[in-house]
Amino acid sequence: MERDPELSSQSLVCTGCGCLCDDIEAEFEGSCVVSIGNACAKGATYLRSAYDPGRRARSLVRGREVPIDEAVEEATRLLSKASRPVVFGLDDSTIEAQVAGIELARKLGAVIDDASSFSFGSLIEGIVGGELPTCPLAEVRDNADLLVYWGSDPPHTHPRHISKFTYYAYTDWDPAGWYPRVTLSCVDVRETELCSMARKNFKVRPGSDRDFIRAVIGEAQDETGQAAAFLETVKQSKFCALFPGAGLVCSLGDDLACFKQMVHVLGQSTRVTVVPMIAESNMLGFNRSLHEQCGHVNQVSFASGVSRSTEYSFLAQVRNRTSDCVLVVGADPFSALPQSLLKNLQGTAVICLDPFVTATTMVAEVVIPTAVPGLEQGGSVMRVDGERLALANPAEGRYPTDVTILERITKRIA
Amino acid sequence: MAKKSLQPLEILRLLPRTNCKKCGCLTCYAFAFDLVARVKRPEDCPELLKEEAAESYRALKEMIGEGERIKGTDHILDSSKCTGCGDCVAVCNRALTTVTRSGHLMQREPVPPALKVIDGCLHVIEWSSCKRSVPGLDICNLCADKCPFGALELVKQEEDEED
Repeated sequence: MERDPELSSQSLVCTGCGCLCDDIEAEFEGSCVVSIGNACAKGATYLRSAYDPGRRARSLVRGREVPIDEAVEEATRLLSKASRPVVFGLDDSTIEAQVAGIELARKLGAVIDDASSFSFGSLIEGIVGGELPTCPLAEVRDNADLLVYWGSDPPHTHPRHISKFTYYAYTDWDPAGWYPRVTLSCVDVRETELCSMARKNFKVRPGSDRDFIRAVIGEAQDETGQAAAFLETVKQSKFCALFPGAGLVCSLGDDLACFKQMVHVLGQSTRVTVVPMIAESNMLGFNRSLHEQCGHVNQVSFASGVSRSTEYSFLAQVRNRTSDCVLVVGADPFSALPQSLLKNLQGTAVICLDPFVTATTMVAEVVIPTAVPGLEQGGSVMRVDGERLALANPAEGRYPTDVTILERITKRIA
Repeated sequence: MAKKSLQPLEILRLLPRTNCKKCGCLTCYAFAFDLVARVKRPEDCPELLKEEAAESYRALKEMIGEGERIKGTDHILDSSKCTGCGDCVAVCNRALTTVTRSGHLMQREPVPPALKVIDGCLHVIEWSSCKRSVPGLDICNLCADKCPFGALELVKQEEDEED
């Protein structure tokens, strides 16, 4: 069959989730994507929605469609006159945009925070600060002999995590059983799809992950014998890779001391590595960028120098009605937060930079549409294991990038 | 969770067992085989559409699911369940490299991949590479067995279907 001369194919990095799969084969007709190979349903839907005009955000000021320059002007005006501005999000932006966002927050004397402050923040802080060992997923593959998914169900949250990076990515297989020579295991509160795949499952009661961890390190009684079995499994392995998910971090909250202690205890008998199952495409990039600049991963205020406090978390800012202007970049707090909290944002100017129509763009005073990272804008992103990847930009030019917008606002602010 | 393969006898229990031939099959048991192969649908049996058979009809629909045969292959895919995770592709790519002859595992001539995820859903891109297309190797069931969502099922095609 002859190939259509207008068709071109390009290799992409999917920015649909934290996996950042770098083997996506997209076929374009002109600048429009016609097929997306290798991407999971999540990634393919995300990349395809870039071509759905109904899904793309439009440049708006108080609901009225305006040219982008006018929206940028209005955003600059609102941020300049704000006395307690907050910059929130940037978890799905490129590292370059995150750096520009931090620079803008610094210039505004604003509070800056991201979704990690109510999810993986403490865990990432442990990893970035060197308290928790981590390593690239390429090192886990073929070397780790025990994979433990804790409070995460990758078939749903990170569909290609198992086939591309861990279990099925191993090259050493048992030819008779068609299983990789590695033990797949999970710790969860319920029967998940992963449980049916895993060789060893450890069940914990909802909210009792801390008790389970304390039983593993011998600080609490092991009533079910599950903790002892888990400890034995880890001790028998030579290299254990832990993949903590939202289930574990939500159960433990901000206090990860027991988890860190468990990793330390297990590390005395075997090599242990921790790779978080982050859903956002570049949360680790934001936390690392902020940490490099001011020594903290989130909840930072630039109002007087650099300070960090839980009262600078976005949730606390909304709960206490502290801020008078919120700049949301590539995040959707109006979908994620409960209505009881969101009513506190009444009277607060919300500026939103997002490629897509979201609940936040629907209520924001100013909406500035931006390019989709990895499709319409290049740059770099950081995978959950800390690997930095360069993004392609095959459909560049349709929308301004969030880097450009953030830099323009920064320049115009006196 | 891998989908439990459908058994014609289990399906027969839910059919009227009158052998009325209104569905075009000689017997209800033959109709059960056609349901497993997705050649027929429960709606093809007029007795099942009657009010008194509503319970059996509902149970049958649940058992058979929304899977549709990928044309020219043994693969029956429920695209509403497929997340494009690629587990089936990974195990298939591994299994394609070997064959079992007389109880011994041997290397197979290199073949292009049989499966690929396109637009977030599984596609059979090279049926001739699939072991099920090779006489003697057609018992391979790995891709369906390893699907975490039970989206895939493998049922031998009828000869007239292949044509």
